[in-house]
Amino acid sequence: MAVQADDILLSIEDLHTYFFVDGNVAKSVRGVDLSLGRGQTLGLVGESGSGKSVTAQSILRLIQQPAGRIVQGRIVFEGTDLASIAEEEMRRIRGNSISMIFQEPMTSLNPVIRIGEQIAEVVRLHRGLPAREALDYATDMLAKVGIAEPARRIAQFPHELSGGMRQRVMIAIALSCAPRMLIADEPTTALDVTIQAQILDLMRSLQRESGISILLITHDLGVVAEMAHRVAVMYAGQIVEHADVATLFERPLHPYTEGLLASVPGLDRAPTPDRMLPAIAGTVPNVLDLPPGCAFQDRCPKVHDRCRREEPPLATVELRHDARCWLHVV
Amino acid sequence: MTLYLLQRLLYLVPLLLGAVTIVFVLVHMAPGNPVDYIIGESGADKEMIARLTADMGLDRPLYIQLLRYLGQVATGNLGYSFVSNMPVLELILDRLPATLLLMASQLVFSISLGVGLGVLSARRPNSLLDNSITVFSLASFAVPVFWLGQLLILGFGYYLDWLPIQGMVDLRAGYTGFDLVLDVARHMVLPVLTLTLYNLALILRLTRGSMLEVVGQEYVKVARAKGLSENTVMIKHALRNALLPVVTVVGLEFRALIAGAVLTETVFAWPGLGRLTFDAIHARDYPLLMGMFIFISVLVAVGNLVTDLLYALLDPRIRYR
Repeated sequence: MAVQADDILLSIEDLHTYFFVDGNVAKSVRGVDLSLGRGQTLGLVGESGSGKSVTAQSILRLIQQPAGRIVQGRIVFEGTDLASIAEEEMRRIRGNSISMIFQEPMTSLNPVIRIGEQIAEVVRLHRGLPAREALDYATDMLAKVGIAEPARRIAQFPHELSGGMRQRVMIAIALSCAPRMLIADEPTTALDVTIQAQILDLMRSLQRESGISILLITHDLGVVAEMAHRVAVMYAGQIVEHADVATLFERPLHPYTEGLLASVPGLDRAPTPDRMLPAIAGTVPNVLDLPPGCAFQDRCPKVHDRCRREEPPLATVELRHDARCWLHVV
Repeated sequence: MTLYLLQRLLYLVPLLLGAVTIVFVLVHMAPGNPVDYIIGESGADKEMIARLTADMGLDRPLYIQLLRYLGQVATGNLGYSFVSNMPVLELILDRLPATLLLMASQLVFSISLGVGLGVLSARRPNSLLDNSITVFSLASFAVPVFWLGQLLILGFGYYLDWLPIQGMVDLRAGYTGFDLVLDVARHMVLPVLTLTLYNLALILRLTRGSMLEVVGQEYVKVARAKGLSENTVMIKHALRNALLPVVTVVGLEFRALIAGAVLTETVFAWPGLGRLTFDAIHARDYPLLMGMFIFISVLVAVGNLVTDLLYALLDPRIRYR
């Protein structure tokens, strides 16, 4: 399932997104390269603060204004560089060609607007449907994402729905204009496990039907294993490893990825003597003040001199498997 | 809902009873009394003073006066003014339209301007526009209404001579029909401006703060991710959520609005309830004063009730039963 160049829907090239706050610069995203194939799911994995959400929000140019800015790089979607088009053109893409769902279904829906209207406003805007038809369309969308009694639900307010149902509504909103790409920013993190499985199932079956590409942002490796075709691991604003999902789980190259995988409990793995899961020591470095050399040096069990002097490049170690680590640069 | 309304209206009875008692005692404790005011400087013999005092029932113990007053109010009778001998209710109803006109106009202006400027301010926090609006609103809030009123009178009435400065109509011109409406409107400009400038600041600052909080919410980000224009995002998605605290405070500040009206009406010689109250305090006209207090209490209580009902209208999560 190799991705050919003409099958690429979105490619991000050398993206830098910085936040300028009180004279300081937080380099949240520092030179990210990514590509997403048509009908594919790319998992973007990393800890909080690794820059994965900022990367996603940069695509739709939804980074917090005026502090946040894309300072460098291209975001090419179907031949158009989203980083350089006018705001008005960008608005035609948001919710239409590319849509986004967020982590917190409890707060993503507007508490004072009826469910039906929250879906209908998008189709009125992008598809130009008249009010009555847009509402009928919203009802159909609710049925499509598996909500029972959709005709009754469209007249309800978000507080009358459970968390899982609200995330289904969010998905209905996101998919209502048949976008080519969906950005899912931690879509199941706030849900309990059974609901989580249902939502992932729903996303998968919708992808099979429509061939939509998904950029799935998560810190949950279990979700990635289940959903993604390719995985990119982010650390301190950079991609540190990029591979097919099976390869990454079998042969992780970067010590950070190794650490992440080791910290996942597994039934097939013998528990450690103290019954504690191994954790990666230390915390993510401050993006306001990064050390010279590799960003992972202070937490890396395999650190050596070169890591403290020079920053490693993202190098192709084997076919379709890149890593940013001096151990794998020849 | 109907049950809730009935309940709230029933609560009014003990509330008013308490308010009337407290105010009655306070008013009678204040130095000076109506007899002195009526007799004035001319002086009168002791017998005359005693007879007047007895006529007004002021020679009885305070609690007897209070009970008699409550009994009288319970039958719907607010009594007669000591000064003019007119029925208190009639005096109040006579002045009510003028005050309502002033209050309603300034509410419309201060709410629409306050909310509008607040939203504008919140769109680009700490920008030049935001800071200018902030300075302007704080300045207009810090200035006492009576002083601001006098400044406006001096500026627009005296030096520029653009606008009338006293009263509600030009009595000498004897306008009728549409000309009368225009004349009243001209007389309204300065008092309404004074009150608006004063009340604007609070609403503006509240709207700004509330908007800034709401704009950080996830559903606003979602609204932007839908491709909606910034105006739609701000007004349809953010403002309705941001208005809740504004409505609360405006409701609670209802009494302050009335206090502002008393001062403003005095400065501009506006023939409304504010002036009536001011004159009643001056003359220690107990029945009229008490009537005014009852009236204001009811107004404030009804204002709070309307606030609560507006709440339910704005936020579907709030339901009363």
